[in-house]
Amino acid sequence: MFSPKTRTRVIDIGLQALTVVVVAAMLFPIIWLYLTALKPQGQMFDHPLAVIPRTFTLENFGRIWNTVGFPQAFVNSLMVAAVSSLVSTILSLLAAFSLSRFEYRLKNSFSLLILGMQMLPGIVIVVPLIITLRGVGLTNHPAGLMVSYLLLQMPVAVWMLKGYMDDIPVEIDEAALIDGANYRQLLRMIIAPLMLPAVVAVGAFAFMLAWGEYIFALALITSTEARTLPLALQNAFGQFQIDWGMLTAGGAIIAMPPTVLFIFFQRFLVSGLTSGSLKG
Amino acid sequence: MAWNQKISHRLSAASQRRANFAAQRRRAAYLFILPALIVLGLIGLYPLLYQVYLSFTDWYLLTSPEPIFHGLRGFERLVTDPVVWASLGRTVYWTVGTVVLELAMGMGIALLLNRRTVINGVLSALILLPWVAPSIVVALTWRWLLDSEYGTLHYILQSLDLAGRRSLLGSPATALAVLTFVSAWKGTPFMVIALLAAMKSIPHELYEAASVDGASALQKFWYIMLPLIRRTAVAMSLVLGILAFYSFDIVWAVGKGGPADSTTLIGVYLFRNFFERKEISYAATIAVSMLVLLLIFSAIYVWVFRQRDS
Amino acid sequence: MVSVRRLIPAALLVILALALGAAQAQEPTTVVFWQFFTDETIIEAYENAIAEFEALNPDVKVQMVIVPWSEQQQRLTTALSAGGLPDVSMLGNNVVAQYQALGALAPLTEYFEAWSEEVGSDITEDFWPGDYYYYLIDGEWWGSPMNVETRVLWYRKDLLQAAGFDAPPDTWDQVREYAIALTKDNVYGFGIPGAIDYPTLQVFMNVYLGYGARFLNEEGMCGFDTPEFRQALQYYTDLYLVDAVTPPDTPTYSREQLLQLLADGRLAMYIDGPWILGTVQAAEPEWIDSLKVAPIPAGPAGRFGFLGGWPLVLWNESKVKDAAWKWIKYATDPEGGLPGIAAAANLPPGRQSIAEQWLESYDEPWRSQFRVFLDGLAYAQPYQYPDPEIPQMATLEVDAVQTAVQNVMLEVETVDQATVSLCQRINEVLSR
Repeated sequence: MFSPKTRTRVIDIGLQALTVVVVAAMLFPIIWLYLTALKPQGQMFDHPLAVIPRTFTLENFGRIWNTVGFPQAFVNSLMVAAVSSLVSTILSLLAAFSLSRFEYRLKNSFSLLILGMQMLPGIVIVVPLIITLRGVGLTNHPAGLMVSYLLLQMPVAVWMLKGYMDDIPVEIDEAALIDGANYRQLLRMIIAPLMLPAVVAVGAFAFMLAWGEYIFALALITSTEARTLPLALQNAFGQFQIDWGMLTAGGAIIAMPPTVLFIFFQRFLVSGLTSGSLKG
Repeated sequence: MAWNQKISHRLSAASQRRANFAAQRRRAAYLFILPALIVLGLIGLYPLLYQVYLSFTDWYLLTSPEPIFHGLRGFERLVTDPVVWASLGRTVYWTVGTVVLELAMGMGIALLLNRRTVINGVLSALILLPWVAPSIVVALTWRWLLDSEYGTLHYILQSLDLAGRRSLLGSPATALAVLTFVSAWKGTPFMVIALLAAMKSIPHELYEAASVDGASALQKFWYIMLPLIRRTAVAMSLVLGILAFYSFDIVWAVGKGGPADSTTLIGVYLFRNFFERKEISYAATIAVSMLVLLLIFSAIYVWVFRQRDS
Repeated sequence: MVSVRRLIPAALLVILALALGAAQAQEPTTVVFWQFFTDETIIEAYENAIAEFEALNPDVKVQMVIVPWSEQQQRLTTALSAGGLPDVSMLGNNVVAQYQALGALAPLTEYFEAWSEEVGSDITEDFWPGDYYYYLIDGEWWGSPMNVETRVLWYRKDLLQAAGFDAPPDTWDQVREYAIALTKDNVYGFGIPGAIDYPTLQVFMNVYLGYGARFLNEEGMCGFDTPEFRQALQYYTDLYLVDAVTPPDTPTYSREQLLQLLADGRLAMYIDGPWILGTVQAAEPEWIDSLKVAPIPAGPAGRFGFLGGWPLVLWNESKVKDAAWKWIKYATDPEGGLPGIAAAANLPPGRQSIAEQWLESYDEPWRSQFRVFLDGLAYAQPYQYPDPEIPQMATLEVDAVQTAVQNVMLEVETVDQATVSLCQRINEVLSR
């Protein structure tokens, strides 16, 4: 019959095809979104099955991009998401290290406190948050948003990183400490690299949380220059009607950068542990 | 006796070093967690305390520009408000449904993506799209896809006899279930990434050793992979559960909690009270109660799984 | 004896203070103005008006901040509770009462009186009649009208003629009769909204006012618990439940979906404003020449339309009220910035005297057609006609009545039950 090698190859191809089909099915609404964004205004809703545009056009993308402050909002979002996710990942890594590797009296209280921060619904904290930030003059400034997003990102990041870190055996720590490493070196050179997939996942989560956040941005940002993308998307909503072309194109534009960034970073997500590091 | 003194001297020196070492460890522990605590404390503590304070006041924007203290009356009102209980019930359904679906779909997709190929690399990034697409766009997209006159999905479902003349989102009986699925659909990418990260952290040797012992793929999955990603799955479920508990943006954009209040979640009710009814303090009361509920639930959840861990 | 040396620092301080004081006096006052449109044409029109205004008033600078309509409610609520209100802003016409009740707005009566003296006649007589119910509260004026809008009955003359009707329907009974005859061949006779959204109330109010129902009763509480309202609600929901002249998803349909159906030629009649013309034209249908407009149908109690629009308001927290008023005056002046700004919004201006200019922005056949809109402004009213605006309307207009309509359409409540629970809901908010 088939040689084992051919059989493996067939299974491989079969599985790959299945993966593509499953992901495509999952992404169908997104595919619809992108295709609709490429349709000219008069053709938006022809027939339920007319998903593929009769004529392709980029005019919707042009129109939403040219609305007031959209390009600037793009830059602002990029900046705010990048900085806040970087800071929160680093700070959370430090905190997770403390919670994972040490025992001390206040540990449980800190743990609960940090997790509890995640349970604050955005809308209601908005008012006191504005007051706090106004005190330091950070309302209507990207830095104010960055700081607010730390509040959203860190509790989950700490929780996630601690979980992944707990899975790394303590023997590795001890080996390093015996060799004379201090805690900082232990974290930076041994544990963090082992946790690279987790760090990438957490960083991605933090970035995307900041990227798509609407309520804090709505409350804190009042001028057009400081707006982030979710706010700029409101340009597609007229007083009486929604401009579907602009909305779908805007949504498509907003969804792209994190995805593109992740194509680059998923390399690090995929790199698993190399053999021997555990036995060491 | 010289040698007695020398021993006890050396012993106390040893215990002195141990004490130093312990103190050093403790200091390191606090030092590492300090930055995070400071940041969270500065930004989050005041809003949290203010929110708690507000929940004990009466602040209806139409009658007073400032909050007025009135004790537990807000909580009384909360407990006797039928809308709160109905919304809570729906929210529990929504949260559990969302998380279960996210686990199921997330696990399935993560397993498929776990094989290292170039295509899978690209797909792992593309799978993020539902999560990074803005909620308002996701909500309106699904509403159109399920529209009875124009929806592609509705057309397909109708030909399969799974939908009638009315949109699934337009009937009180089906709207919540469908939106729960949409919510899970949006959150699944995150579960996929988290599970993939866990899967990728499993050393290959474990699988190789099992192969040598003659284990099948299913056995490898059940006895090796599952236990090692279980902790991640449990932690992610809690995170996604909390996010789902508060969510309201998709539901709001689709139909503001309708039709006939069938999709009014507790988060929707909160939003309504804050922005439409201008009942600032009642919204805070609801939020604080939700917070307490979540804290209790999380504590139980974590405790249960910690027991099973050991 | 005071040495000269000691006097020098003091003298320097005095000079410095005088210099600063002089500098302050020369610095222009900044007026922060929240504008709700993101449309480029409108933004440009405002920028032109601001430039003209600043040329005429060199001591005032207007800083326009764009706050989209979809966000303005949240922004204002947040600003009210956390600070940061502007000096001048637009505002939804029926929301003025809410902010006035809170003491957040500054009255404009005295400014209006001064303006009337300047002009030589009462400027408020130039306002549209319905606007009196929005901006005149407790004997004072709180908003200066900018634009108004109303709705009409859009209909497909070709479809009507094919069904044997030579003229558009004039009463609600006729609408029903026509719609039943027109619902065939994949076309719905009369598309109506039923979703929890503003259009539902804005269309239904034409019906309930036409049947003689009133939002408020003599005591200022819910006035809907009457046979007239029940009749209106019965009529509206029967269009869906009994006559099936409107699509199956009407209970969750709003302007969005109905407009799409109209543009696709699947609706024979539809009530909405003038702005839908652009959307329909973009679809380039062959029957575009058969699309006509007619006045809102009349009920047993008369003909009533919906009056939309917005004013400019002056916020009480403003520290520069006089300067802010100057801007409001210029922007809403028929001889000043109003013609330009109102024209850019493509809607009739808030002043009757320059109403004709709106028609001039259209080519024929629409220019003559759209006179129906101007005629409609004469009988266009707010939801609570004939009572003045109440502060709670901003809350009530969001979902109170729409819930009743939707519940009956979804057969969750009967007309009777829906009316009773509607009044319960309304009274609960009114007594808060």
